[in-house]
Formats: sequence, structure tokens, C-alpha cells
Amino acid sequence: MRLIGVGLVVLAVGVAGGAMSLSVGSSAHWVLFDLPSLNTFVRLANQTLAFVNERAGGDPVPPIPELRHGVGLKLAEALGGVVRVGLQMAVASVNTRTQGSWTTGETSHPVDISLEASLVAFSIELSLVLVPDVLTAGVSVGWGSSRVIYRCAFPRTLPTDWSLPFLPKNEDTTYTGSGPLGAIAVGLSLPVGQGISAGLEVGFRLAPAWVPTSGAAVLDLNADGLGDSVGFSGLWLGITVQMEFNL
Amino acid sequence: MKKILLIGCALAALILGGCTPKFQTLPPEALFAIRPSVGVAPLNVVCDGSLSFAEKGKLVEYIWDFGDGTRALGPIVSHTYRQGGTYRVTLEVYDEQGLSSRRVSQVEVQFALPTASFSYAPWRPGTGETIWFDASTSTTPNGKIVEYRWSFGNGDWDVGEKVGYMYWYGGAYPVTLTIVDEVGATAQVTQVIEVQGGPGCYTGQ
Repeated sequence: MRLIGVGLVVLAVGVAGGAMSLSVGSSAHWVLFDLPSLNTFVRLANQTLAFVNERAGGDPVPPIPELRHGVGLKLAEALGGVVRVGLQMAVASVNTRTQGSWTTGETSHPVDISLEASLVAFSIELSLVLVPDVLTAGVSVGWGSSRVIYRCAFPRTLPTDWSLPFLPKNEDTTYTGSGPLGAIAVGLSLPVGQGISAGLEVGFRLAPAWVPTSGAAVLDLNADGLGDSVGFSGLWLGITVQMEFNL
Repeated sequence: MKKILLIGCALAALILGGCTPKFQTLPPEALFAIRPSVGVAPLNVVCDGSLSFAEKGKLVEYIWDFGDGTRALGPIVSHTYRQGGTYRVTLEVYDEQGLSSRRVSQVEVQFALPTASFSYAPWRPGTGETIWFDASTSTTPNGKIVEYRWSFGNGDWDVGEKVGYMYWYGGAYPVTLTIVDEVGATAQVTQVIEVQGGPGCYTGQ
């Protein structure tokens, strides 16, 4: 208890002590995603596509690219001196799609599968200015809200005499979920003008996986009867622009 | 201090393990195709499980259950269903770490039809003469024939593998044998019997 009290005092002094400033910044990110359950579905669908491509006529339907990286954006503002406290909002998304058609005689079997995963996170950030105007490190905790949009049109009758027990489900559904998350980040910037700096940021988001739902239905793309958990943990690399106002 | 550092590292590992799938073990995925999935017994099906994959490493075992009490091993197998029915085909795959997954499909095997046939004697019967009908040459691949039903073409009928019947009027009578086997499959055959003699020929009215 005593230690917590001491910690709070140090924090208050760090925030309030020295020159107080308000910083407002934005950054654009290249985000690495690790979505194994969604990529398992992508592999299942690609195995199915490859199997039918070998036996059907016409142009092959291209495989679905796996969900590996996407884009993100962060807006943040913080108040303090050496130690800053602030709020931030971050969004990140990744998507993939394939389209094509198998043809047998005069019959066409169209295929259109798309998958998008996105996250919106609101967090409180505590950052430490290691080198004024140059190097900062921060940690944030908050709440994230995710969305997985699955759209699929897949023929129920295949142009082959083989029967496959797994076929991508025909659906157009948005699954949502939410949960706590945290992040750590390090930013390196250089002043480019009066109170304006630009630089790079690298960070890592930690988000426990949760199973998105749509009403009573849970996300189960691989049709194994178990919900597919989706987590948005991963690394990001961004370009930042920041404005600082001395108070 | 060392204890706090150790606990901190353990906590970090726990959180990382829970939050980052790279540290989690992922099971393989069983995926297969069957040809054909519907047909008449005896039905030979080919099951191709080579579409299955492991998230990490490779698959080491493919176990098939054909739903009729028989099993097989290997990525690509074939099996013959001799009896009609709907069967659950299950493929279970194991990877190098011992993780497994399974997927189920269905094969519908239709009952083969029996064959109805009969003979009769005498082959040129007269009116008032007993004709003996014998259906023992009928066959079924589905066990036994459980019912023989005769229709004598004049509204009369009888049951039994071997029956006798007498026509009182001459004429041409379509005699139909219907058989039913123990799975409920049926078959029919009709032969026209020419009954000789007598001025009062049966006209079927």
C-alpha cells in the first residue's frame, strides 16, 4: 500500500513537475496481424479451391491471400512533463478476397469470398520522455472493439463428381466482439518546425483473443462446432506527426 | 528483488502466451473429399484426405472410420459398402505433436433391387386345370425375400413362394409376381398365361 502511494506521488510529480505541455499527435501504421483462426479458414478454403480447380473446367479460381498485414491509424493527446498521461484512439484493419468462376458446359459456378477484420481501441497512455523532443516510450491500456466481416458466395453443387464435406458457408455476416487490450510503444522523432515533430513509432499491441458473435451465432468459419477466437495482438510500425504546446 | 523479477517474467510470459497465438499450439485440420457420395450397393468409394494439413509440422496419421464398423489408415483409401444405408465417414488426423482434429461426411448407399422371376407348369394349361406357379428363381442381394404376392389377372390373388391356381375360363391372363425383401425393396414381373379351351373366354371385364 505504501509502495502504491509512493508510486502515485512520483507519477504526479513527474506529470506536473517541470515544464507542462500538451501534445497532440497522429500516426499512420503498417500493422502486422496474427489471426490464426481466420487464416486456418483461408487455408481450408484454398485447399478446397485447389481441389476443385484441378477437376473443373475454365479458369482456376485464385487462392485467397492470408491475413498477415494491414493498415492502422492512431490519434493521441497527452499532458505532462517528463511523464505524460493521455488518451488515444487507434484503428487497424486487414482484409482479403478472391473471386472467380468455374464453368461446365453452359453452367457457371461463381465464387466470391471476402474476409475483413478490424479493431477500434480506446486507451489511456502513460508515456515517458526519455530524450526531450526525440525519444519517448509509452504503455497503454484500454478497451478494443473488433469486427469480422465475412461475405461468401460459393456453389453448393460443384463441377466435379467428388463430394467435399467442408465448403465455405454462404453468408454475409458481420461478427463483433470486444475486450481489454494493452500496448507498448517507442517513438523516435525530430523537430521539423516550431512545436512540430515528425518521426517513427514502433509498438506492440497485446489483446487476448475473443470469439466474435452475430446475435446468437458465433464465428465458426472452419465448421468444427467451436467458436473461432480472433486476437489482434501484433507489431506495428508507423510514421508520426506531433504538435506540442507549452502550458 | 530476484523473486520480483522472476514473478514479473513469469507474468509476462503468461500474458504473451495468452495474447499471442504464435506461442499457442494449433491443432491440424482434417479435410477430405469422397467419390461417389451416393450410389447403389455394392458401392466402392474413394476417400482422399490429402487435403488435410497441419498448422505446424506435418501430419503423421490419418485414421478413417467408414461408419459400418470398418476402419482404414492412410491419406487416400477406398472402401466398399455392401449394404444399403446412410453411413458417417470420419477422418481423424494427427500431427507430430500429437494434436488431432476430425471431420465427418456422409455416404448414402441405396439398396440394390431384387429380381423377380417365376416359372409355371403346365405351360399350355386348360380350363379347370391347376397351374403351379414357382417363384423360387427370384433373388435379392439384401438378405431374404419375405413376401411373394401373386395377381392372376382376373382380380384373384394369393401369397407364397409356390402356389397353385385354376382358371375356369379360357383366355390370356397377365400374371404378376411381386416380391418384397427384408429391407423393403420390391420387384415385379408379369407373364401372360394362355389358358386353352372353353367357350366362355375371360375378357377382363
